[in-house]
Amino acid sequence: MAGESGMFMVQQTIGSVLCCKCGIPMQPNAANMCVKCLRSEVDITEGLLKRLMIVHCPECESYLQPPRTWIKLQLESKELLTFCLKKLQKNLNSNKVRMIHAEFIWTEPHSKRIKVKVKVQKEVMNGAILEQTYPIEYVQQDHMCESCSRVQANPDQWVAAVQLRQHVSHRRTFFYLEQLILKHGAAASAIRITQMDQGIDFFFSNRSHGIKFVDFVGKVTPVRSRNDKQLVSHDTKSNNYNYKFTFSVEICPICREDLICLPPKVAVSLGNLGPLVICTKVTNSIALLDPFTLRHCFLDAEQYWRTSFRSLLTSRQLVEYIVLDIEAVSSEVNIGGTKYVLADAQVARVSDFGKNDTMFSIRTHLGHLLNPGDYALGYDLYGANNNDDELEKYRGLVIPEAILIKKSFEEKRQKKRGKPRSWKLKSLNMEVDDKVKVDEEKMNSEYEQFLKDLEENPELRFNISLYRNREYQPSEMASVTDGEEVPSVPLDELLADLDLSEAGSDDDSMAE
Amino acid sequence: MATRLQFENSCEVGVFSKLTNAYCLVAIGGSENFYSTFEAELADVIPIVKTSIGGTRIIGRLCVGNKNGLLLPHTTTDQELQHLRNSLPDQVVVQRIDERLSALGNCIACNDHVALTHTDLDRETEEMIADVLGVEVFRQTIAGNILVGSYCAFSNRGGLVHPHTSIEDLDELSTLLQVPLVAGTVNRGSEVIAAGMTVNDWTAFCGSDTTATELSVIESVFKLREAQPSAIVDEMRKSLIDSYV
Repeated sequence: MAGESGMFMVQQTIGSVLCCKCGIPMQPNAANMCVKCLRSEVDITEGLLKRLMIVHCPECESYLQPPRTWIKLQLESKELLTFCLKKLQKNLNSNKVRMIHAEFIWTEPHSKRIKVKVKVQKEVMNGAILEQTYPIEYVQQDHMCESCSRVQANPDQWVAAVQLRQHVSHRRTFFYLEQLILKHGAAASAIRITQMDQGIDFFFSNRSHGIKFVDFVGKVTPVRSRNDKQLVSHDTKSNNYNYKFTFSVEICPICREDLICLPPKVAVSLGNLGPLVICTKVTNSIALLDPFTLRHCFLDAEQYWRTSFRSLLTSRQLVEYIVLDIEAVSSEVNIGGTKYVLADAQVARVSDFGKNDTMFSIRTHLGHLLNPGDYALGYDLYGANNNDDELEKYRGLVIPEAILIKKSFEEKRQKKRGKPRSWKLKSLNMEVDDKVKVDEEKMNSEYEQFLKDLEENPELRFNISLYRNREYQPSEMASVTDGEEVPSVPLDELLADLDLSEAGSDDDSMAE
Repeated sequence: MATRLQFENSCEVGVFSKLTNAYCLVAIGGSENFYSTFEAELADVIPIVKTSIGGTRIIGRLCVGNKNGLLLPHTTTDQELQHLRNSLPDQVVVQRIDERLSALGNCIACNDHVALTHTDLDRETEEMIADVLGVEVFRQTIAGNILVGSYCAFSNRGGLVHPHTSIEDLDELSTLLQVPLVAGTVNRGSEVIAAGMTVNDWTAFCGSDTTATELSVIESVFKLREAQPSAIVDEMRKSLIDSYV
């Protein structure tokens, strides 16, 4: 400043004085002592902690942040350094020492020691600031955290169990539900999944996980649920109670393609629908269709459980018919995205074919699909022996001899039998309950039926993830087929299965 | 030789004593240790006077003097002034002065020929210093400090100044004073030189914290090793004889 203003300034050369202790020449400082002497005079690390304990859970690699938080930290990570220094901060502050640098000194991971080199500064003797580095040793004390010790004591200790049940004779619903759960990752937090008679049990380590899962199931199927809790242990002094929660979830027994005779009350409340109706779709509500008038309606879970009814005939009782003649009655009608045409048809049971001349003149809603000579699956009410209470309540109800449900591709499929599909599905990692006898053959045939349904019905495929089957090799002959082709899944709907690692493959598919 | 001593557990001996070539003032302490240390060194040569100034013991910081005279601050009582006039040799002029900056020892540093003073001292005071002490007066600072009396100590043979004094300042000061100067410390690194020691031409008294290194610096710059009260006379006689011959 003075130089800029043109004033004469004497140049100041810093001289040297002798260190007052050892007598070596040095630049004068606040203590007038050389650094070595100053350091021997005062130790700024005096009173600082050099050995500390940290509590470490060997199972989950986490550290105790008192009073009772456990934080997961990697060795040599920035977060661990912060954690270590936080323990030191109070000690430094009380000694009026300022920390300016810290770094890890590498130690063997199994040595249970963490060493940190810390550089500190402190003001000593009339304003001289001394800087010193010193190592701090943290001793890891192994102590299992609460959740780990609970797991160790009993590996599959669950807090919430969800018992999913459907009281029907087949498992088709659960095959579909399994795919939905996989797609949405709804059971990712389950610690165990067990296949039971007429259902699946899901076990969770947390009540909220269980509740979340029940909510999910309630969104995709019409369910009725109740929950109970059982007291496991309690501590009256601190008002702690340990419960086990059980959620009993019942899925409505009405499935797709079931024939239902509506109870009079329901029929009236739905505007005199039916009373013989087909269930066309089950989501969180049930879609019902009257095959003779093409009227339809939806029944949500609440409405269903108010007057729960069962189906008259289920898809296992479908009988194969051959269409002899068909004549459309109405024009095409679009109901909920699917087209129907009311038609009069002459059908005969395939089993009767060639034995007798039994033919039925019926009305069907599948006029757009069926042609003379086609095969169709339907319910044989002519031959059925019904003892349904609801049906008896209707006096003078004319029951048709047959109700067709869907077109059959059984004949065409014969050719393809035994060949692998171009796609595959994932499956949940399910345990099988010992007490339940599983009919392997029945299960396999049901699963095959489920896969066929997926192929035939694009609407079903909409909500689930299909994966490309690597083992599938398309044959050259496949394209040369006569006339109508068997429905199959187009290639663009398939997802490439990510195989990052053996263990990770399940998770990847859930995230798509 | 330089002597290490304490005044009632304080190492700031320059505060409690004033040493010149013609007399020595010491504060009245609880014990006789301080006084007797001075007496052992100086008894046969110069008078040692126990006194207070303005009722205080910090006499070294309040008064300034050399072999020609002694200046006292306006806080000095009449009794003290009288006591000093009675005790000191007749050729020493004792004078009380009206200066606003009453800690004269902190504001003025002098030997028998030159005085350095605080820059804000009155003109009358400056004249008084020149008259009473018989010195040339220079207004100066030492290493940026205006309290020149605190941060330097010099005799007719050498001087010690504040350790932060730059080499250029040292050159300038020694040109003014005509004695060799050195930057240094007393009392284990203390930079308040005049508070930690008091010095005349043949002896010095330092605080007992002073290290051997500091003591050796002091002895060499003040040339105390060969110095005896008689040595000066011998030297003078040599020159006299020289001039006679």
